[in-house]
Amino acid sequence: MSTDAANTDFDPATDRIVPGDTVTYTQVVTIGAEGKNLKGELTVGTLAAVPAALTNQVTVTVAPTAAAGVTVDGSVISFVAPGNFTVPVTITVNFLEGTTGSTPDTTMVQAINLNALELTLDQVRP
Amino acid sequence: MRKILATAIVAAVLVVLFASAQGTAALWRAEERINPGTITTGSLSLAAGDRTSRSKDFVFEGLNTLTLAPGGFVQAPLTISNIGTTTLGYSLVGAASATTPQTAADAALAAAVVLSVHATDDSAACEADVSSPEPSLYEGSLAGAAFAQASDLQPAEGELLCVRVALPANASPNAAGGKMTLVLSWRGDQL
Repeated sequence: MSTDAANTDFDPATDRIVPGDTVTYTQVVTIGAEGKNLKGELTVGTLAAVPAALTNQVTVTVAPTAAAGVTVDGSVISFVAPGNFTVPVTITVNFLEGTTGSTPDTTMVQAINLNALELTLDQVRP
Repeated sequence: MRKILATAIVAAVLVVLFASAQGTAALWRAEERINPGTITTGSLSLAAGDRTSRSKDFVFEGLNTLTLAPGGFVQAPLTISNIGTTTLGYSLVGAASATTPQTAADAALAAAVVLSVHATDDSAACEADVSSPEPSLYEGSLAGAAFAQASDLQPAEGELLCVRVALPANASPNAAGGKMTLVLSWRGDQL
């Protein structure tokens, strides 16, 4: 069972996630849109990162944050006029805390691959 | 409350619609990827051992109970080690004699002995005829032997213990000729 711990940087090369931990990764996505009447939608993909051994123990969520000039609906970021927009996209990995002794040993030393999160920016016409 | 670990990533992904017209498509599309990398779960593992070896199922040959006689004791050092990647607290959760088949004398001996476990800094303090150091983490019968969260062990750390088995001078004569195979059960909990 984890005790409370202060927020700290997480180095994937050396640090290991354990039950009760949450790791967040924030990437700023910059949208550059130039052209008269240009409108668009940026769709943030999903990650199939959780291996079978971590099913029901680890969750991975991807969520963009609303920012100036854009609106966010789920994983879709929309803009209705040309411009440059910066949108934070946060990936959150949560390892459920459970109760003492409840987390299976099979969850140890498992890799969670967060690579290849697709961002697709499409022009839209009303 | 959950521990929150936050990364501070300043790199930006730039997705430019203007510069990415693709062929003859009627509407533009631009694509990009984010590659944060891979994170790995840790491990929690406890081992027991002596100066030469350690394992999760350690055969404690250093504690020879064959020489045990009324009024006497045997003792030997034992190291409990954290061989995982996560800080843990360890506990003694049980003790028993696993002699099989267990004769009446074996059972009487197991019921008569007094087990004590001491933390020590020096294995010399746990040699055959040296009085065990104080304080003890546990002292009593095999039945119900336990102590909780003796110490916090960081990964790769260990704690030296002195394990003693004593046979009181007034032990039951039924224990004469009895044999015992001491099994100590330990547990590590994530901290």
